[in-house]
Amino acid sequence: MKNKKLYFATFILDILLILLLTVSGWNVFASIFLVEILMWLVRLIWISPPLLLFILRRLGHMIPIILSVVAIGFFLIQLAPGDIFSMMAMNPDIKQETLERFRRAFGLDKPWYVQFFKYIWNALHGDFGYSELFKAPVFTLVSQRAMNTLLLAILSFILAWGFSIPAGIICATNQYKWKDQLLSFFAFAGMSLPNFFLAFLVIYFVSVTGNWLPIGGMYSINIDEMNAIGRFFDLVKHLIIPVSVLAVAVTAQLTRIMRANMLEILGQQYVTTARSKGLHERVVVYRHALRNAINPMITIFGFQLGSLLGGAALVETVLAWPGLGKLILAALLAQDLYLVVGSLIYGVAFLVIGNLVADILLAIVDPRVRLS
Amino acid sequence: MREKALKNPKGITEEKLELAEGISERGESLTRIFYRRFKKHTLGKIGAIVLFILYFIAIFADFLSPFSMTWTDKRKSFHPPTPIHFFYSKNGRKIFKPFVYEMKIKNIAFKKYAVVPEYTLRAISIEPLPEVNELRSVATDSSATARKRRIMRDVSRKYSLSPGSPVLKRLSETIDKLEASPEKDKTVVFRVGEKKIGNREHVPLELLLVKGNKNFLGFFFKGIPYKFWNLFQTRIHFFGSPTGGYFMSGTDQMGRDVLSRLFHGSRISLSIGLLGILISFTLGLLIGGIAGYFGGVVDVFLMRFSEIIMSFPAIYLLFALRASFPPNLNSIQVYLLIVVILSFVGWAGLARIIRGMVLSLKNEEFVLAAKAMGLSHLKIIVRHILANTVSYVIIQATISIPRYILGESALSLLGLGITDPQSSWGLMLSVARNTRIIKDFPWILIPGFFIFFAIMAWNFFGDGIRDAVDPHSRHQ
Amino acid sequence: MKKLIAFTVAMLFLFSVSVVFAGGAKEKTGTEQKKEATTEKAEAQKEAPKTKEAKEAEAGIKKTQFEGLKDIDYSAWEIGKPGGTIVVTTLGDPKSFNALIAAETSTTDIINRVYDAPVDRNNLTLEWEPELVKSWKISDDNLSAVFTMREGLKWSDGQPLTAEDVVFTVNDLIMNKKVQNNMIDAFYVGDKLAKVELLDKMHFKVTLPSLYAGLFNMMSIPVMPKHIIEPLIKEKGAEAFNSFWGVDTDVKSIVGCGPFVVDEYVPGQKIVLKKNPYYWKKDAKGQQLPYLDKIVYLIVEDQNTAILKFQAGETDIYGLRGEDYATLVNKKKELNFELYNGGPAAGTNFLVFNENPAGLQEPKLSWFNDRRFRKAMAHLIDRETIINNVQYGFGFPQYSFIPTFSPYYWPGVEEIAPKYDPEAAKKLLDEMGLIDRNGDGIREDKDGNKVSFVLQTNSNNTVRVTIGEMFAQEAKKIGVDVTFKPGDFNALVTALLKTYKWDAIIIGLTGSVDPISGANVYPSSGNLHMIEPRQKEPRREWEKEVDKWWNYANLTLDENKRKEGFMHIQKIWIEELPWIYTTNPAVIYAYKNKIGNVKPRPVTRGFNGICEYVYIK
Repeated sequence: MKNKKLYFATFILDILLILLLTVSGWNVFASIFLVEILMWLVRLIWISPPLLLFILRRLGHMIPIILSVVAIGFFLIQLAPGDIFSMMAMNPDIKQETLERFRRAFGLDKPWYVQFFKYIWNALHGDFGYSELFKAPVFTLVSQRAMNTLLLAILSFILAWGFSIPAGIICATNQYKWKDQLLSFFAFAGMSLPNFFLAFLVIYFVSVTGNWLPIGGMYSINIDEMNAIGRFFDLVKHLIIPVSVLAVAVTAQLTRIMRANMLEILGQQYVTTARSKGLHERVVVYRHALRNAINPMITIFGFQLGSLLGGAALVETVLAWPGLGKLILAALLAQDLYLVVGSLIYGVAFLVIGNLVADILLAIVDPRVRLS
Repeated sequence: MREKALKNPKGITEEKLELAEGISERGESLTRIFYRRFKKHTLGKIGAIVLFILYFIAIFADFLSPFSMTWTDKRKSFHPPTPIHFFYSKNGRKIFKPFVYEMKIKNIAFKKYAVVPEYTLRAISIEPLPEVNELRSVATDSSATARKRRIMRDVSRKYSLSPGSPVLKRLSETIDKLEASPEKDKTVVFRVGEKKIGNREHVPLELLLVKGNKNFLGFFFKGIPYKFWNLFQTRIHFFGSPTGGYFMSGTDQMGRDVLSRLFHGSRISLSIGLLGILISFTLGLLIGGIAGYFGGVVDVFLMRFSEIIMSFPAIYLLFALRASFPPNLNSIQVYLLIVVILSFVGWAGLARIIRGMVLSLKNEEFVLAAKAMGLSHLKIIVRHILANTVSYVIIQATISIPRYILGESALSLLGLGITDPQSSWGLMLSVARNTRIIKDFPWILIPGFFIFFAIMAWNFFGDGIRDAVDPHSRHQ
Repeated sequence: MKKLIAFTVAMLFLFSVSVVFAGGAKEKTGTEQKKEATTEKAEAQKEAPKTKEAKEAEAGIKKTQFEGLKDIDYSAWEIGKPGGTIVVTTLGDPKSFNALIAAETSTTDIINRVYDAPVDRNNLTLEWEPELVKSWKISDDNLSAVFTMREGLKWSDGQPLTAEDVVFTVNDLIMNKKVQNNMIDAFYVGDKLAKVELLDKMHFKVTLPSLYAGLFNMMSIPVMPKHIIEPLIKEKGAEAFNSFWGVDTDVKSIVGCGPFVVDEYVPGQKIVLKKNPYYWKKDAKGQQLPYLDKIVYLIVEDQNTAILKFQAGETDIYGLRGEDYATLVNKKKELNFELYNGGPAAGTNFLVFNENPAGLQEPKLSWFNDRRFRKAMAHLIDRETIINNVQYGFGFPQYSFIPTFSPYYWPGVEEIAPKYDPEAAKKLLDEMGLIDRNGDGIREDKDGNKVSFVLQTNSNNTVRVTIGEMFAQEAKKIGVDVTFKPGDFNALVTALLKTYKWDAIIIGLTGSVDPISGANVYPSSGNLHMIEPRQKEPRREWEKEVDKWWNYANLTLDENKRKEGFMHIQKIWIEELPWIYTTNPAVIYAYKNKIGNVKPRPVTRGFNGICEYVYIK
């Protein structure tokens, strides 16, 4: 009861704060992001201080990892021949001296560890550097792209979970029957189909059948002439191909895991007990077995998020989706140092936070798990 | 009967079954048990067969492919796959004699091909040296004299023959005879002369004079010379046409046979997994073993390191590593570099699991006994501890191979991996990044199917292996 | 037995794959086949009289005219009518709205519509023409010039634009070392900078340290508004200018003097430019330019998306790649557009050999320094095939660093240039004593060194990769072992400009109408003089000649002298072949028929034809 009131109070406060920030000139997304984080912290302190402590500790764990990732980024870029200004060096109009001047301004005249410490120092002051390639502050650039990638990842997750759980249940309850065989075969095929190749196949299919879906990009050109509903459907149309391409492999994997989990649970004694009590099979499967079968799936959530981010990099490149993976590839090839490091930080943060979320979810659904 | 029981955990618990098996098959070696169990796994068997075929192709790539990896007909950019005609009508009778039509580009902008006219005359030489492009002179002029003139001109240029040379006179006579012959599609072998190789060998320089627009197909035909396994030189290819013009899966932009490049590319694409597994598992086992066995600072240090590597999204780390290495390497170095990078990304997860297993094993009695006997640490780790993780490692290895195949194709697709003139499946797919090319020349997507089949076969095979090695394991 | 089964399965599988894909190619039945043959016969007979042409076509020699492409009329601007909007695509977001900091095409594409320069090349004649200035007067000694501004010029915010702005842009921004821009390089004459002085509100004077042809180049810079930037620099220092008018600024605050102003920018989606009401230019009938009310630039990620937008009828202009022709040509009626041939692109793609003793050892050093060797290699570039295969027929063979439409281009190079001829290449190598001595198919010199070298290029440029791969094969055919290694661009540049450890490279440079911008490239002291950069004294005879003619052509204001100088340089260049040019893609544009004054030039500011004269019919 206490909780309900708390949620209500914080929810009102939440909306008020967001409104306040937006009115005072903040970016809508940024303010929602900030306020949500704040509110969840408040709620957590109220409900379960140990959980909060756990989250803080895990986030604290992230710091050395991010530091080393940044250091590795600096080191690797240093290792590669050439730098961000190599492209300019081939421009006949530019003198050597001008280039040197640019390099100094970018900080490339110092050894990599000096650059590294300088970067950390600046980052602590909220300055994540400037992308020479895109002529934009790294933070805004990467945040925007990361949101696009996250959108892809989350949607394909929802799609994958939505398909794989029922599919897994069907497989397990019809073990070795044709339904199981068929779905298992598809699961194997889906697992083996490289997502970039699937993207090529979809492109071929769509372009041969008359381009009825947008093949690349994220928006139509006339997006600003549309109203909110039109925009939404436009985005949905652009999302269909990348999301389904990404979801295929995840669905396949999850289906196989779900099937195995379900089979195991159905063989457990308590299920046999439930059955012998004369409970309806549906009740046994959905009430008793399902909940326990889903738990292990949550643990792999974090891991899957990581692999999805990686997979998205290729699909983004093939389908021209303005996401993090495409950005980091461009940045690496051009050796745009701060952009590389910035996107690496984001990628790593996604992964770590994904794991964290998985842990918390597990703790919520499975009371046997204690967070420590 | 037993098969059913094994698969049905409801009826009989697995432990009991194992016991029963163990008793009934007493005296059987482990490998035999393994083999027997594997045979029951249908998908595993299918996987094994497909893998056998794929690796067979990789091993005999140069023999099986109708052309060589770099052989180019520069006039045949994006030549479509040639349809085979099985029946040839001779004197009004249809006989079984598969052939393909010789095609020629009709529209450069569209890359449209059309069959050359029936009266075409061609001169095709096959140089005795590998990788040396031979003469391919095609005369489609309507008048016989013009055809002859063109062929003669090309031949004399190719072999630096002077206008009055007796060879040319012979050639002229041969062509006349060929043109006059009543047979519609005829091929004669014309001997230009001899070529000295390395002051020892005299090899004949031969010229195929082909009348008509058909290329007859056959097994074990004489085609582009190559060095089989770099050992001995031969011209025998498995299937194709000695007069060329047969592209089972089309050609790429430069006019290279897709099938031949596919076969040669399979060497790289398929071997990278095996080699990568070897390296990353050695690394993972050793590091995991050392970390678990010694514990303390070593453990903390190694595990933190593996954590950092694992916290990179794998593909970002791949890109970053590849981008940071000098590209000024030869093809073998690039290949090895890619293997090493892929392995470097892959070892961390295994190391962590092995460490956990070692932690639980290291206080077992047999390890303590080995320690008491004064064996060296390395020996204890390798012989006594890691040996106990073998079944897990074997399963993991087969399951991980697809990741390496994928990793290589992803790198090559983006231009960071294998580059031309080498061939790999990912590299061949990289042209598909242009929508128009996918749409009009879909045969360039064939390598993707091979990646798909290879990965699927490994997955099936891995599944079979897991069931055979470790029937207790769950399907995760 | 099992193996046999496996093998059969494999073959069956392969066949099935081949059958599936062979479906794509049209299968011909016997009768169709016959018909084809007969029609071909008839065609061949028809063409029989034109033997030479037919022969050339047979040999794969490309016709210079492209089918279905309209040539562009550069004679004069049509009189248009005001109003209307056009929609075009641009690749990628602009990186900045600051005209002095901008560098990439995606940025200059926009910027060039927003800013104007004191002088510029006329889009039609390619001659220098006054823009913001009304006239100029060059002193008798040719060392200084006084420019007179037009009257009544205004910035887009209504403030007056005077000579003060020009001088401020040069002296306080471009010449300021704290401002990150490369335009300062245009002001160097040798090691000295030209001087720009303010005389009064209407006049300014440019003084050259010595005779120099680049005077107008200096004055083709975008002029920045002093009344806005000076307070900024005073307050925050010159560094603040570097991030001024970046992509995150309110675009409405950007003040320009070009035909358009930025009206709206939605990152990742579009940029809208609208008519600048204060723009000075008027057409022949006295109508205020620009005609258009708005230009909408849609930001797309890549060419694939751009062509889709055009096909969907969403955009009005599309710059084609050779491979796009097939997709578009049959849709002319349906989409109501026309394809225009803008001639060869301005850039270059060439093969260059390292001749630098600082990075290369014998015997390669002396081979590459031998003109005959380079000429032999030049005989191996099969330009026709490159054009046919890579550019889908839409390309031009290239023999000079100056674009063919430039007034400084010397057509004589086409005659002298070594063409594709492996036999001639063989002869040249034989002459050099590089003969296959042991019969392994590879030539050796007299000490038994195999003639082999490594050819590099950047792997993300498919054209160069294909050229390289083809070259390597051609070379192998005549017994030169070329190892082709496509790689990373930055590493290539490092080898080229820093370590000098390379054999041969295929690379390209941007081109321009006036080769004066190649001062870093062609004289032996340039750091892009790739064969041996930054020589104190030219080591080769021909380099001395080039240096001499370079000064002859550039340290003067006499156009005839310039043409003569560049003619000599082009002649030496094609004879000595320090680098071997390959091919140039054709610049093809698709324009909706409703658009008038379609006159793109590959090099000027209106390179895609979008300028103040464009109008909607």
